Amino acid sequence: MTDIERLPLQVLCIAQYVAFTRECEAALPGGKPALEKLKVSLFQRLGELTSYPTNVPLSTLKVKALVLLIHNMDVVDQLLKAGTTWPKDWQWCKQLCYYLNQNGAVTMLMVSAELDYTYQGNAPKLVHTPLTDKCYLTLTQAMFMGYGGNPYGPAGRGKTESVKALGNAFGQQVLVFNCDEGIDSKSMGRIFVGLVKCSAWGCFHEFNRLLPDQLSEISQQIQIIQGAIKGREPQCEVNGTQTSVDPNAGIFVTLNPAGKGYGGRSKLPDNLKALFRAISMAKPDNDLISEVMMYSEGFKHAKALSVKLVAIFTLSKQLLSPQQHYDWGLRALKTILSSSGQLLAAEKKQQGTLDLGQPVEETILIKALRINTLSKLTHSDTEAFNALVGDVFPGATT
Amino acid sequence: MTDVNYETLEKAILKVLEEEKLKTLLLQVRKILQFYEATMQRMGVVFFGPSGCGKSTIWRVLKLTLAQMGQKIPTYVMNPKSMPREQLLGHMDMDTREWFDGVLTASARKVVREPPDVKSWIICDGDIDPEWVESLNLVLDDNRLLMMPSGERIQFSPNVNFIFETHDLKFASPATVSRMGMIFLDQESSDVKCIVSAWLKKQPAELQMKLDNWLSEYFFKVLDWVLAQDSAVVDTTKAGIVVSALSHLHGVASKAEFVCAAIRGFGSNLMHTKRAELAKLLYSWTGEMPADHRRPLDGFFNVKRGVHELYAQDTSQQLTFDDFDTEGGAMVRTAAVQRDEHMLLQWMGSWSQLVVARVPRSAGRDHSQRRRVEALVRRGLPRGRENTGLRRPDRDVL
Repeated sequence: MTDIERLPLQVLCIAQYVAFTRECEAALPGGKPALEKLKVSLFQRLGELTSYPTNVPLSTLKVKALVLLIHNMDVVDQLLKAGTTWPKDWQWCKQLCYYLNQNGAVTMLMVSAELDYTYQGNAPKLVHTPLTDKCYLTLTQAMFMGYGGNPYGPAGRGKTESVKALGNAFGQQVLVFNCDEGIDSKSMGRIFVGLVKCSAWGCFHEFNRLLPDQLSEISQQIQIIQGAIKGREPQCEVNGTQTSVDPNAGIFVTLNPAGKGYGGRSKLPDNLKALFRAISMAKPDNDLISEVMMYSEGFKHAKALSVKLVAIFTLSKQLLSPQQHYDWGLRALKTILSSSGQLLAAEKKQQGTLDLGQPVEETILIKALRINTLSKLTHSDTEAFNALVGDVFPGATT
Repeated sequence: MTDVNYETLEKAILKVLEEEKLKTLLLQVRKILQFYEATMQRMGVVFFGPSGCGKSTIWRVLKLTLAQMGQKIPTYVMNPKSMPREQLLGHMDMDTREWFDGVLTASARKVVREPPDVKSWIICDGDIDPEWVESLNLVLDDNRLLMMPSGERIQFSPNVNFIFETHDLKFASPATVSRMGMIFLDQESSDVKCIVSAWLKKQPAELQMKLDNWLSEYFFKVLDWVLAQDSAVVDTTKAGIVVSALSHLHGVASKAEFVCAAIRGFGSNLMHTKRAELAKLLYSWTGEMPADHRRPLDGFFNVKRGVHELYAQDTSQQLTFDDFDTEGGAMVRTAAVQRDEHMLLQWMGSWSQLVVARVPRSAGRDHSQRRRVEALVRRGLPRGRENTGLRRPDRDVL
């Protein structure tokens, strides 16, 4: 626990992962009782973390990130459910496992990569959900086979964030680029050269907003680079210049589907599609994400409250009038969670206790919900929304 | 429980509203507080509502309030749709690959140079179009990164906000909507009564009582009638009609004058037949006697003599046939022309907003404009005021 003040977050996280991998592999042959025991000890750790007294902003950030390792408990749950007793079982292999060998390595389903140890800072962590697992699996497999990854889906599903988080897990620098019509193949070529030279990952956001005629030329360049990375060639030729290639570089694209209310986007040409392994990200696990985020914001009764919050969002989407400017997606949810976290921290400071009890936490959540939602509602929907809040949180004063 | 608990801020806002002679409306104050909260939570905030509902007023009031509380906010206002994409977001010379900054990128550069305690607002007042707004996608989410086709990357810190004002989100994709905080303003939130009473506050003190009586007795009755007719020449909003009508009532001192002014004010955007109906209606409601019952529109109230008079054809002009032959021709000052002149003069004298004249071809549009300018010069008003203001098509002359 004292390490939290002393060490950078990245070191803390990797140490946690390595320890978990080791503990879990040790517990696996022991079957159910051993795993149950591991789960209990993880739960204890979580409890210690959520009640960790923080007044330094930096440690608060660190604790928030460490609480997100609650995912390890889900992993143990999955293993328990599947009755796994063998460390080479699919249920265990498909997880991100960290081993401490010469250099430190990350393994995910036969794909092993060395940790890059690029400093990542205290970037906010992503909540790990089954969808993230699937995305990671697809992306690592794609890299192993020398392809790029292509998470696609509607807005606000965590496509770009997943790529960034995976890079973070690998200790890799991830650079995000926003593509638009103004970027031509020459500019893209320059970006590619930079990426392969310094072994960074490039995540190209809204890739299909590039003009179709540029896309085909860009696909040529990507093909050359991917070929060089796959064949571990030291050099390749992009845009007529020879550049050195670092095999750890990677190219990812994320995109929204063309059409259906997303203007200014074109369809990807087939030759480009073939270079990227697609993973559809359509339905995020709102329940899990809000629960874990609330734990990390310091809520003690996150489980009960998060269910209600998500219920309000689902009901609002169904019952309120459909308006162009309404969004009941993950981003809106996240805004509410982070603002409720701020309110909670202020309240805790005022009260001087760490556990405020469920009624107070509920009040704070409703407050954050109303602050961030009422501003966008139409007149008639405001009443309907207030009624909804009253139904979902019975007894709460509004 | 209040929604947003900023007591000091609320008090400051009320004070500013008082100083600015704006009507204090609880709903608007709440919107201002919601807007303040949204700027804290999100990078991008959208004001979404019809014209005349107070979008710009809200951020102006908050800016003034924060300035009084010691927080200076540099603002950069632009209308993104008024210029081509290249001018807004910058462009690259295809031959030399030299980069030229656009309006938005140039302000972005200025903004990032500000110290962290200075909050800056970049305000985009105009319709949202995927063509440019999608290029801001990375700026508006957690990445806060503006990428230019030249490969340059501007990393914003949390002290920057992008504010959009629009009446229409038809073309905004879910990718845009989900990234922004929404402040929805509808007709209800800007009650016309408040526009009227805010206007009243700015009138000479000795007239306020009288005006208030006439306004409450007739104004809203007429407004309802005009809205029910739905025969505006140029589409406008409820607030637009009210502002247009009020612009004629400046300094009105007697009931008869009020009636004539109201006919001009409300009638300016109506079809001719409807205008006559309106005039008859107003005369009968108020019990005033027009100078000629068959031509209710041609009457005006002579303040000096205190009676209703008809516009008489101006026979003092000595026009010869040659006059019609010169460039622009001459103008016979018929009753209708005089009426329009009267209307225009009122606008020129009191407000400096855009005047839209929609007339059939060769119906004297040029003439009345020329007259207007001439009259202006005669009255010694600065000529430059004529075309200032690009707000909305409030004023129409048939």
